[in-house]
Amino acid sequence: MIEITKCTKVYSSADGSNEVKALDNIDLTVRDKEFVALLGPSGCGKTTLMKIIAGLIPWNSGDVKINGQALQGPGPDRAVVFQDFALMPWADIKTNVAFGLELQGVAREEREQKARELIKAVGLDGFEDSYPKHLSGGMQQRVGLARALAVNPETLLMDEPFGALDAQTRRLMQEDLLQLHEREPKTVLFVTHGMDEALRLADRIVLMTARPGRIKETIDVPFGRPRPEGFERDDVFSDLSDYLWNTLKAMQVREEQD
Amino acid sequence: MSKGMTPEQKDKIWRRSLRISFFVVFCLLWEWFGQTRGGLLFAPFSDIPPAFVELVTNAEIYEALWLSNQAMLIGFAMAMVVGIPLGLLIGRLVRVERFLNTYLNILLVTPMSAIIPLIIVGVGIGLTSRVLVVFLFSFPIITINTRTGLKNLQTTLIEMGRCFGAGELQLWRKILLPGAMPAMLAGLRLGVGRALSGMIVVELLLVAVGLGKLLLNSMGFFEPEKAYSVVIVIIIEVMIIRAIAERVEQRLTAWKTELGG
Repeated sequence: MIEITKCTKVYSSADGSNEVKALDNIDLTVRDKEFVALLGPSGCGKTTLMKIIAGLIPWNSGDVKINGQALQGPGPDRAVVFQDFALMPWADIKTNVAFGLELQGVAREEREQKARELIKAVGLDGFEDSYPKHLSGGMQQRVGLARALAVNPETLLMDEPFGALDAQTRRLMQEDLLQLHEREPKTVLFVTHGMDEALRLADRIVLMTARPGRIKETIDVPFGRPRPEGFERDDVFSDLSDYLWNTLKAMQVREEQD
Repeated sequence: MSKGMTPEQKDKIWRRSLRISFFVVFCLLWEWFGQTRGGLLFAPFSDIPPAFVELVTNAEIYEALWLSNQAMLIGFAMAMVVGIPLGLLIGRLVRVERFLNTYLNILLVTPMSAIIPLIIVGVGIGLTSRVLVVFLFSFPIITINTRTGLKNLQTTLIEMGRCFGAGELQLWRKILLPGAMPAMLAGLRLGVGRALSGMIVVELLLVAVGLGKLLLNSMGFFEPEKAYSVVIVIIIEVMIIRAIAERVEQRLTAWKTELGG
């Protein structure tokens, strides 16, 4: 469980003159095995929030607690999937997938075995000895996902993981992620720009505004799990999608007026 | 069984013939120029092959090569040992970079030949000054390439390492060094070229030993064909070292895409 209370993050320039409030008094609780989408325009702080939870950057005030304990830094309980895949181009796929385990000191045979299992699970059977440059974008992101799952995390932190993929691949990856989540649910924090993506995947959508980054609204996604057949064609889906779009649009307009 | 040639084969033969014909025309021009306009200091092309053979069948050139390359090897080794760690330090610590950047860029563009007299005045004539010149010729580019290699590493790769629990040492061993390796090797390849330049230049300008001395003496005794032969030997050395450096670079960076990914 992730509990964030009154979290504020301020970026100031080197001479202290310019201050940007990336996050302003954020209150957010993510329950175990809940799939939460962070949705908002560019600059709303969603990636900053995710990096704070990942333990990569410090925050200025407020509390961030993981399972009741104050957050100390990065950890294998929170695994990250990156938008640009962040694969090591000099290593083959199985080494990339096993990387988290390698850092933990797991023996080579054991971690390669685990890597092979996950490579199969994400549908990349046969590519264990290939190199990232041989793989398409979608395949590379599957490697990123496999790497994250390899360390058996409680939480998956996904930073616009499908943003760099073409529309078709993105849809496929979304469906695969849904299936994965239904098979083995984990706590997921999913940063995205896409309203439909959020509706498709999440249990709850957290809408954020920019400058300063604040939570505007939280929306519970009414479709159950597993997602019923044809839920995307349901009126509820399109109504919610319209609502999200209008809210986001209004945020953009307000920004332009400032 | 088809007797025709593929377009690629035809292309290759065409290109090779073109190259050979250029070379032949070049040699003919050289010969004509030497015979008609030559003089004591310009040798026509036909003088060169026998002079070359005489050069490489005598001990003199090999003694010169050994003497000159001593400075090259020591100076280049020093440039590696100083340049790579320095480049890594600058690439990793922004504050260090800001501090050293200007000096490094100045060193990179300064014509080192102009600095040589200053060095001789300070350190004198001898192996030390030659080593120092070779070092100064080659170390800036090694440092800068190493720094660039480190800085061009995707920031997310470093974030990824930290997310999965890498400490600073693990970051270096498993991400930073392997990632910067192609640029480091490119820097070494460029550096060795500059080291060879430094080796020759200092001998020509101020410390007449080895190959430089051979060159100067040949011109001084009006034996230009011998001088050109020495130059050919130097070019051969450069080409061999270049080929080795490229081979090593390719072997160690087979994973780099041709598109620079």
